[in-house]
Amino acid sequence: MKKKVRFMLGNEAIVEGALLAGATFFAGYPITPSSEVAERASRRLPQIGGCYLQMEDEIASIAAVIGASIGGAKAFTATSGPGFSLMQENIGLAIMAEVPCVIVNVQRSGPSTGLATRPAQADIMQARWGRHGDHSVIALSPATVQECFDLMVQAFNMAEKYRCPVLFMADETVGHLRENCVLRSRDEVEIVNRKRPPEGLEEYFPYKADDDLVPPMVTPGSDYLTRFHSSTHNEKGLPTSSPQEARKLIKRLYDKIEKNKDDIIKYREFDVTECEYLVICFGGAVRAARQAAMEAREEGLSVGVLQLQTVWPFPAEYISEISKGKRGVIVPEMNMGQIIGEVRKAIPDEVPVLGANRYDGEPLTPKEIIEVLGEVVSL
Amino acid sequence: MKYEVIFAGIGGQGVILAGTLLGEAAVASGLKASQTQAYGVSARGGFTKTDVVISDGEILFPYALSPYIVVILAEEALVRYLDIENKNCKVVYDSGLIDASKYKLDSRFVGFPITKTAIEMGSPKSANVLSLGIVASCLKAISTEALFRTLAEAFSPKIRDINAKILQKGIDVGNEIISSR
Repeated sequence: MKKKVRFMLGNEAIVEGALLAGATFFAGYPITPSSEVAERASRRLPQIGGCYLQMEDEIASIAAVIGASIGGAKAFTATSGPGFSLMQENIGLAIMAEVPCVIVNVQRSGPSTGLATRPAQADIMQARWGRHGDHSVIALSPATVQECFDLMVQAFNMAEKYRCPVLFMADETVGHLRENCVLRSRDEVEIVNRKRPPEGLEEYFPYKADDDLVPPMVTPGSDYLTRFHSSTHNEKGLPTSSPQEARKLIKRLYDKIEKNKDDIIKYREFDVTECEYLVICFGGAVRAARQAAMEAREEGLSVGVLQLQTVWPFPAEYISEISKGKRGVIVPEMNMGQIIGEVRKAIPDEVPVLGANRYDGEPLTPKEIIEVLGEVVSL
Repeated sequence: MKYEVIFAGIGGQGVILAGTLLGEAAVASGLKASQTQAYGVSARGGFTKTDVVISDGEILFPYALSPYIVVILAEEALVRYLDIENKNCKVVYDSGLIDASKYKLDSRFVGFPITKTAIEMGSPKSANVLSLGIVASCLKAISTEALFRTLAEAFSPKIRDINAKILQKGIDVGNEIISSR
């Protein structure tokens, strides 16, 4: 059967991807440029028997999402920079209490309320380090409307599989982009649901992990005792000040993501292996990078593009390997240079790394990347 | 085949909707399309534009770098496109709303009283539909049937017939603009 191709907004595709993944709950406080996520969720969730909650602010929104997930629902929210800042404390709670959920940040220009309608990718380090305390985190970033749909399914799958919040780091150029999108059906994608305790289990400890470092999850009202705790806790879910138990917990929360990087890290390669000059980027910047690479190839330069669909955890080992022998690496970002630091840490000293940055609220264009490419070539 | 189009005006004129409908009609014609939008923080007023890229292949960069046609509905928008680089670009501006006499416009600029015509045809809000017709007829890549179907699906029945007439008027105007060049 021929699939119906839709001309869809990125923010709308985000909702459709969430629904396909099994989401039944959204709580949010609309904010430009993410508002269409809330708008569509408010229409679509009641249609499938789900719940849309318009909250009083972003702190309440993420709190409601965490509560809904503890109650058994696949839950998500959407916001932009100012709201993402407000959500940080409770995202930390979701990390510590191991509550699966998806937080969409359609990034706009900041800091503070900044340029409300204009794009940026300047929250990408906040996504990694916005909370206090040691932890790892999963962050995905779409570059096309199709990826808004497809990667949202992945985001929920990862949240459920690893019992953690997943940060969906879109930006205005993708959230407010309309383009061709195919809405896949349930039988075309793998849907992951959170692990439950095995049947007949006599004694359940809320935070006793299996070999995969992820504890099975129960909902309040089940046959088992339920505890969700934000303070350092032991396997029983009781607060502890034991250094051994504290270390074990922090290490497990970190390792359950970092030791599964092979599963979590997704990327797309465009002429990456054979190219002399490599462009490494994520989200909206990918579109300018691919256009720039195509134009540069027409001029006889050998340029490839590596698109990071997973930004966190960072694919340092892979980038280290792939950039060996390259004549130069360019990192275009709609910020003053955030991911470029991670790239520099990952790759050999002899390979020059230059940023192509835009932080004036305008989208990065191929021209800016080509100019930096010219600088790299002349080195 | 690749076309880049810009609709520009101020908030409230429906320029983004015109871009959305053009993209939808292109997709319904079996093509690939992308549409981006730029607007300010106010609900009405302020520079607003939408870029539409239509292609039979993958669209990498979704913004218009070298537009084939630009439709301009407000002076605030016109001033941003006075120095447009593309020599073959057509710029159609609303000569009923914009006094262009103070600008030195070259032969790429064509004036037509877009909003006035829409008002005279019975729908003051349909300047964007007339603009859509102008662009679609200049592109020659969009199926006319898909265009009218997209328009019919987008609006309530009470405005459907008037809008169809205004769209047809836009197509006629677009054809004149092409043949006069």
